[in-house]
Amino acid sequence: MIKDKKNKRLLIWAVVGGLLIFLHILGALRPLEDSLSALISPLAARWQVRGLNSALPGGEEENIDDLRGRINELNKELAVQLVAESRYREIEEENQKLKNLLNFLDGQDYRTIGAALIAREEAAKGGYDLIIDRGAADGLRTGLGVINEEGIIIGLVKEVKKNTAEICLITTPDCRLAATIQNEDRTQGIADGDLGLTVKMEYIPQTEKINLGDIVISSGLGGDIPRGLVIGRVAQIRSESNDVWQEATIEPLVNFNDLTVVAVVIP
Amino acid sequence: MLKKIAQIIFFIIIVSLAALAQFSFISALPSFWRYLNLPLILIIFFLFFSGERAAFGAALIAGFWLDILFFNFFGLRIITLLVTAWLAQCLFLTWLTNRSLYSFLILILAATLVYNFLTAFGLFLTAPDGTCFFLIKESFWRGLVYQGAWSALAALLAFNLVSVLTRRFRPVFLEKGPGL
Repeated sequence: MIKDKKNKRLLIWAVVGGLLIFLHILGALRPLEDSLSALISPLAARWQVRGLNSALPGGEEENIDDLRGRINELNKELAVQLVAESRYREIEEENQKLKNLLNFLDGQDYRTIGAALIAREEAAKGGYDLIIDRGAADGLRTGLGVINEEGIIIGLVKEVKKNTAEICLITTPDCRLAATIQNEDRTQGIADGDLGLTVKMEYIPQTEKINLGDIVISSGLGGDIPRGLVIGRVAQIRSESNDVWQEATIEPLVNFNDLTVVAVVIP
Repeated sequence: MLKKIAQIIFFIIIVSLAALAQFSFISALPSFWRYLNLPLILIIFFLFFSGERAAFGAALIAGFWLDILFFNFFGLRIITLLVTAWLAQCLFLTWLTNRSLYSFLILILAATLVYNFLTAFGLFLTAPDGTCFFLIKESFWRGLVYQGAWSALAALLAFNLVSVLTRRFRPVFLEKGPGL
């Protein structure tokens, strides 16, 4: 008798859970879900910043804070310089070679939508994905590029809901975008995340000359990402004389742990 | 009646805040700290101290919030939290006969194991990442160990806190009653 009562209660909970999932599949819960996620986004954004600024051990700011602060400042300055330099080089090249192409985007002809980070989620293949407080209602769609405040590309929109979107970082495996190395050959390829730490560019012909420190930018080919957004710089080149291809490891210029505000690029 | 409604509203708010904190605040913390699983700890806490209705209610509310907020398939968290609560209840009723600290520790550790396994299995089925099976991934076991440590710590704190506040439970050893 008691067991029957317990089983009945258990069944009720299972039915309620199943009903919620069923109603979600039908779309009947969408207004509720959208309004709840819109409602909590401001609070979530504030908590995300608090979490990032927490002085708990284990973070990157564990010791020698002043020194790290200075390094961050210098890195930011350097990143700004690199962005400016790469933009200049891109504009110069455009003036020389592509000035007749009316539809060409020069890296500034795009609209951006500012967004706050509201959560991070561990990605299955390493690293983590970000969740931002903008979604389909703001014009976001899958495949758009996401930049930080210095204009450096940090990732791509992976999935959108009405009021939120999930971003894969460029260091996450399978987060791919068309890229160009700013070397003499203007080497083109696909930049793909590597272990959640760096970005790699594979299948580069041995005939192309790549140098350490070369800046890598988005090529603007085949997608929604405009040309000229800085991805990082070449930190390592793997090239064997008997191989057909060489591979470059690209070091991102962004500290992904510091991100709190980003912008989605709408071409 | 009014008191009952107020209790229910308070309960919903507490569980919702725990789910929201898990989503936004805890996910932003440095590595070890972000393995704290607040909703799961809360569910086992309710199961142990309040009974199954509160535990299943908490599982449903927290699961619903997390399913709305995260980008995995809808239902993953509702199902895993409800099944975890149910298995924890079975373990509690069948194997753990008293409400001691040891029971609470075993219950919370078992729930952590079940929850992690179910979540990873659910993700493996619905969003295969093209790499190896989750059981041979270092990140799965690391997450499990860290979460287990957090759960054990939370169990120690919660049990001692409740025993101090209510005197209903003995923190470590059972004492002899006057008739014994």
